[in-house]
Amino acid sequence: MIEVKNVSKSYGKKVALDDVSFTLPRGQIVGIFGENGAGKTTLMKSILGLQPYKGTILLDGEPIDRHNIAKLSFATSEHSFFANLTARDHEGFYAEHFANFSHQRFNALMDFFELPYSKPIRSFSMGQKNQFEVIMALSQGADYILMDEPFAGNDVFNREDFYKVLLGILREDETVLLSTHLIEEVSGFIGRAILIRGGKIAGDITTDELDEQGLNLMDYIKQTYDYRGDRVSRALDSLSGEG
Amino acid sequence: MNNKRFDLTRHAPLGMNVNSQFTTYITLFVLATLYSFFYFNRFSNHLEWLYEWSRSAKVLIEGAVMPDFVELLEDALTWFWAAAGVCLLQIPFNYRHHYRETKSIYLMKRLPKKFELHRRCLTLPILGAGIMVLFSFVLLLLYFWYYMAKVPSQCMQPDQWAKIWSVLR
Repeated sequence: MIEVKNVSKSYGKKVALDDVSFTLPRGQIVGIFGENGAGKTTLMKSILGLQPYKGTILLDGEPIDRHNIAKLSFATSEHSFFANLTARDHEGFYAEHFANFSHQRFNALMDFFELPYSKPIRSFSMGQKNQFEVIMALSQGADYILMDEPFAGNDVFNREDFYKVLLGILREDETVLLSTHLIEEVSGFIGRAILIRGGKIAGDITTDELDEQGLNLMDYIKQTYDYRGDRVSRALDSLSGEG
Repeated sequence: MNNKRFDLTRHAPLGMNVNSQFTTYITLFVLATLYSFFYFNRFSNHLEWLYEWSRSAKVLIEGAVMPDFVELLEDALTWFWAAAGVCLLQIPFNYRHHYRETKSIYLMKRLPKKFELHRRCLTLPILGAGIMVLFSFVLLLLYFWYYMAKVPSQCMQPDQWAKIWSVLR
């Protein structure tokens, strides 16, 4: 379980995370949603120890450090692979550093997405780069897989394939924390949604709870964000009135 | 599997062109070594000037004095120190490599081996700089030994060894 307790983070005067607390048990696929700059990426980087923060983050009851960091993997739209290296080079490097690296999963995913093993990743298309980034995160052998906008730049068919594969290959005890703007696309396979707004947790609900309330994810998000559906029509009315 | 002991890429940032880095170090090393040979030119000239020819025989000029070792050495070894500096200048470029094109720094920072990032960024530059400095000391000792062996004792000024360190201080 990942326990995030009273975590705050500021960049100068800008507050990115404000006293954020939640837990992430094993075996869940959790979507984390919020507008740009809401704090999703900051939260993930804090969990991974990539930046300092105030508060406490525990991984299976222990602080996250070098002895348990391999339980976490990360796929980011910024990409964390080495552009000059080939997929095979990455496989070797990961296998050397992550004891639970799964060659079987790596090869299966590479074959599924038909990615070349021996070409530098630099030569891949943006969609292929995203796929490769996710493949490495899924193959690392981590218990908790953090994904930050991993499909930015992928076409819809690509993403559809990925969701199916993800659901098919994950073990029951593997946890995915997925940050994305593609709310409707992922609503079918996540089990829980965490909403962040202005660095605070604005909502945290399971899909079972949504079903009980007769809501879909998009409705819940609009409700939580106090979305004003008449905003567009009022703006258009106002603009046409000017003319 | 390659022999890991001699695989330079294992001690450099992943995906970096280690060969060009290594070639730069070797070139600097060779140039610094060649430049240090000017010491022999100065040394042999001054040694020659201690003698004169008398009836086709080389005889020591009375009262002739050989310049101090450090005087003849001049800047013969300073290129090694400059080369060591160039090696160390590679360090920020090695770290920066992990922010170019992608953020591979995220992967390096979350490896279970705490010092892997620093090991790959620091090893070759520090090793290169260390070899340059070490070799400059080896040459210093070699050139000093040559000076002491070749200069006639009556032409030599006292405290040659101490004078080296007084210059360094």
